[in-house]
Order: sequence, then C-alpha cells, then structure tokens
Amino acid sequence: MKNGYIGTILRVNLSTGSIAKEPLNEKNANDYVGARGLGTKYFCDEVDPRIDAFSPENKLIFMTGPLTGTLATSSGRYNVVCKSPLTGTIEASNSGGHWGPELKFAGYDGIIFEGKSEKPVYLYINDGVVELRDASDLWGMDVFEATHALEEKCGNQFHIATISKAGEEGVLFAGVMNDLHRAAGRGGVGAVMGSKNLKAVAVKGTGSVFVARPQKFFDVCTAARKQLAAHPVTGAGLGQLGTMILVNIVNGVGGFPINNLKDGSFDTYADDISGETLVAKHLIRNKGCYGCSIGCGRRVEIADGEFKSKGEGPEYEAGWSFGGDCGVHDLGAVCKANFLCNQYGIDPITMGATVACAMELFEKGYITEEEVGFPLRFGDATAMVKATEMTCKGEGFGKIMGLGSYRMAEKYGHPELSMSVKKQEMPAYDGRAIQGIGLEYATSNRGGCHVRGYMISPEVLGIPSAMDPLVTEGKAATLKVFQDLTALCDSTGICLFTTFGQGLPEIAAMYREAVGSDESDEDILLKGERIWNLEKKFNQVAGVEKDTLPPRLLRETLPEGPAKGKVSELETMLKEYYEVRGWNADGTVPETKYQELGM
Amino acid sequence: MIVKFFAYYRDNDFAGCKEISMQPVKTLKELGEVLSERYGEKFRNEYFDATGTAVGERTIILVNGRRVEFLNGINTELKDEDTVQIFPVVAGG
Repeated sequence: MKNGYIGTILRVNLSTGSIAKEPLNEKNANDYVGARGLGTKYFCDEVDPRIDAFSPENKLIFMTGPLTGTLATSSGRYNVVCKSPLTGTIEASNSGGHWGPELKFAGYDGIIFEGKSEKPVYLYINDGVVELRDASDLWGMDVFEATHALEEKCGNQFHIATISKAGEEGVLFAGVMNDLHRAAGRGGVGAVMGSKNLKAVAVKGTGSVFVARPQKFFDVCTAARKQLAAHPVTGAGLGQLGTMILVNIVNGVGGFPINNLKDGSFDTYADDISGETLVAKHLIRNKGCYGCSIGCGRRVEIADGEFKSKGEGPEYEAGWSFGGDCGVHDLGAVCKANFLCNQYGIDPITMGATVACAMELFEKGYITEEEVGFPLRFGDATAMVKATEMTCKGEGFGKIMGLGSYRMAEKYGHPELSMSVKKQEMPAYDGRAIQGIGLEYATSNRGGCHVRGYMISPEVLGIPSAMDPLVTEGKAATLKVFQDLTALCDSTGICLFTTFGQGLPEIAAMYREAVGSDESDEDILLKGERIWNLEKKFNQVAGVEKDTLPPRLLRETLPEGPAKGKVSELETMLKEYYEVRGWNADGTVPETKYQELGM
Repeated sequence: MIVKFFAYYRDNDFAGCKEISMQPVKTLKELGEVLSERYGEKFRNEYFDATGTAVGERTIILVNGRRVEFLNGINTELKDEDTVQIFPVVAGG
C-alpha cells in the first residue's frame, strides 16, 4: 500500500505453528489509526475481556502505526497489546528503538500471536521468510544474552525484541525489550509473552514505507522538524539534559514522592539524583531512537564503587522509583538498579515502587528480616539494589515482589500501602501536589500511568500554557484533550515526547499526507477519543475496578513543602471528568456515546 | 534570601554555581536586575522577556515552590526568608 501502511498483518498461531499473512483491515486502520489504537481494535474484536491474562486465549499483538518508519520525526514507535496480568485491563505498551520500523521494512504492519507453544520458540522474520524456530537454548537467558545470541544466529542486521527469565517466569511487570535497551515496559506484556513460550521476535527487512502524498508529506515533516528544533525542550533541552532533569523542578513544587509517597519533597537530596548530576558525573553520550532529532536516551557509566556498572538510562521515572520513592539518594545505586531492569526486562517504575512498598511494610513490622533476608529500610541503597536483583532473578523474597506492590501488600494484610491504581504503581508525581496528574492516574485505562495524559506539561512545565497544580478547575477538560491526543499520537507511531514541541495541527498534518486523508484536525482527534472509549469498553466488560486513588492520596495530607496540607480532590475532578467525557455519573459509558463515536 | 539555579543556569556563562545566599531585594524584577548585573547579558536575556517586564519564555521561576505566574509574576514581592528557584524550560517523563 502507499498510504503509510504496509497492508499486511502476520497471524501466528503458537499452538498449531501456523503462520498466515492477511490483508490489513483498512476500515479499522482508518478508524483506529495504528499501533495502540489498531492493536487494541484487533484485540477487542477477537478476545473476550473476561479471560485469564495467562491463558492461551489471551493474544499478544505487536502493532506499528502509519507514521512508523517514515520521515516523521521520532517515528520509531510500536505497541505491544494484550490483556495485562498486572491490572486485568487492556494494555498497550509503547516502545521505541528500531524494531518497529524494521517490521514495516520487512513487509508487515503488525503481528498477532495466538495460543501457546508447547516448547520455547522465537519468530524469525527476514522479509518474506517467516518461521517459528526453536528457542530452547535461549530460554533462561537475560535480555542482553538472548539478543546477542539471536544476532549470532540470525545476523547482526536483525533487530531483536525479547523477554528474559523474568518474563518466562511470570513476573507481573516483565516487559518486552527491543534493541537491547528499549522497552515496552509497563503492564506485564513480557509475562504474557513468556506464558506463550515465545522468547523473541527477530526481524530484518529491506523494503520501504510509502506514503500517499510524498511531496506534501516531506513538506509537513520538514516543517515539524524545524519547529521541534526551534523549541527549547525538543530542540536542545531534552537531548542535552535528559528526562532526569525533571527531578529538581518536580521536587521544587513539592510533588516528588518520597518514601512510598509518605512525603512530597526530598529536600536537598534531590540534587544528588538529578539530571544535572547525572550529566556532570556519569553521562557518556546521548542516544536516540529511529529518526529522532531529540535523542533523550543516556549511555551512562558508574565508574567505581559498590555500584560500578555501565548501561542506559535511568529515565526520570526510574530515577524517582529507585531514588526518592525508596529514600535513596545514591545515584550509582539508582543507575545500577535501572541497568538490572534493562538486563532482566522488567518495568523499573513498578519495580522501584514495589521495593518502596516493601520498605514501608518492613519498617511497620508487617514483614520481617527473616522473610526478606536482610533489613529493608528506606534510604538503604544496598538493600534497594539487592531487592531489585532478587526480583529480577526470581530469588527468595524477590518472588513475592515479582507480584507487584498491590498483591505483595495484600498478602501481608495491608493493600492500602500499595501506591497503585488498578494494581499498577503510580509514577513519579504526587497527585496531592499536582492535582491533575492524580485525575490522570485514577482514570488511566491501564492503571497508574503518567503517559496516557501527561498533565505535568501544563501543571509543572507550563506547556503549552501554565495551569496551577494546586487547583482542580479546568483539569478534567484539559485531561480529556491530553488523553485523546496521546491516544492519537501513540497510534500514529511517533514518540509522545515530540508533543512538547508540536501539537494536534502538526500531527494531524503528517497523518493526513501519509494516509491520503482530507479529514479535519477535529475529525482526526476524534479517533483518539474513539480509541480511549474502546479501551474503556474493554475494561468495563473485564470487570476492572472503579477509578480511584490509594487512600493515602485521598486522606493523608502532605506533611511539608508547597503543597503542605493538601490531599487529592479526586471526587470533584472525577465528576467533572465524567461529564466532559459524556459518560454516566458512575463512570460507565452509555451506549449512545459509542454510537456517537461510530463504534 | 536563597537563590538556587538549575540546568544551564549553573553553567559558567550564567550563574556558575548551584546556589547563592544574598541580601534581600523587594521584587523578582529587582532580583533579575541584580543577578543580570552580576552575571551579564546572557543571563538577563533568559531571565527576562524581550520587553524586560516579564519572566523570559524559556525560564521557569518558583518562589517557595510556587510558579510566579500564580503569584504576581515578575512583580512578586520577596521576603528575606524566601527561596527562589530558577530553571530553564525543561521536560521529560
């Protein structure tokens, strides 16, 4: 096809070993764009939401978007879609790197994995040659070992997406790692992959992606690229300073959660684990994904000491989870824990937040040193890294932490100490100090998540314009637009980080020229709203719990800082949110809404 | 009064340090004038907008953790015990 899409989906039945190439459903592609949206549409049409996430009936869909692998800036994204074993919600976990574009160059928009293989396998894709191959010798390998072994077997031009032992053994927040360090990290998509005995997908392609109106597409992409280059964040800031630069400013507004969200400010310790310190002491070089002009990735080295190591990251969220959330201000330890997550393919947000929860359980006496194997107190960098490593390797108490903080805390009788929404841990911003992000956590269709509607942009960073983080007015309407636009952006196959410097007009323009559409910006944004409602519909049938926040955010006031005395005013915002979404007052979606969206 | 600098505001061609303690000034505008006198035109061009009457578009200033847009902007009054934090526009996530 010559409209951004390749026009072919691979359907792989792991139970029977059959591999079929089928035409892309063009109507669904038009209605749900690609990647997150289109993957979710395929999934919802084919899978009963009430299934067990680890049953063979769960499907695992790798899907690119119409802009993936094109001239559009930062167009290296793809999504992994399945029912999440962590949350029970629909999951679309987003990753960058080069794997997504390579799949399109090989001739496929996406892959639908069905069933379960009897023995470990990997999928080999070399343009038109697609084969399931034995992966018995790869089983048990970590991400780096498996990637290098597959490059050895297949050739070093292949791009590898793989899981590690954590995914094989069902760690509920194991991700799929591609190109060594890029992650479809959240929601346990790697554990679903492991449950199917699917170790990896190795892909090499020599084809191209064609767009509908090449000259116009070139023009709008060039204009967008110039706009991103001129913006202080996407032009220089994010590349030079990395995402960890957020530590000091989020701490500054009192929204940097400390010690399992007991506090909202790390005082002077924040600078120890800041982006400034990372750049000054440990950064080797920047790294970008496919077609990216931003280059926010970090190659980092801890040159000496207890945590001597080398790897990529951490991003801001991981810097927080292993740092502030665990009361740790040793940047070497934070980096080491993050490197372990990359090596073993697990989500560092949930990992760090689970260690923080375990620390509170330990300090309150709900778990003992005998159970853990060592004292696990806030601020103990060595213990934090050790707990992370045990989880990565499935050793001892690490097996319990591998369930995530909610199930762990519930096991010890205190689920209220899990800082999670729908059993997924909230990231690095306190919903009491930054009210709108609390609403985002509560309403996210995949549980606690910041990148479904990044309210930190207006509430802390002032992008596109500043909103007061302490008030609730206007947050619901703004969040709806952010969530719909994010669903659209994720579904095109470009990186969400570009939205710091560009918005709907630029994204819609690239989409139009790629697919050959004359739809208005509003019509294109409506696709984002349709995707949001589709995800919500799945969750409703699946029986996912209601939209809320942990009791700590609703009842315990922040003890100090600029937001001292605040709790989340969720109830007020939620009422308004359901109204602006056109939903019922109890948060359910009326049938008329689906009809209005043409679903 | 404590003034803290972040990201490239710490570079030698800006403040060249993380933090200073200084004699109290009356407003954020006066603080900008004092600091620009000390650190030069490059600092001034980031701290102020082109008119010199508002905070620069590439700068975020917090006074005791509150963005000055929600106080009184460049005319926010300062007290001796205040902490002012000066950032370039940053992002991440």
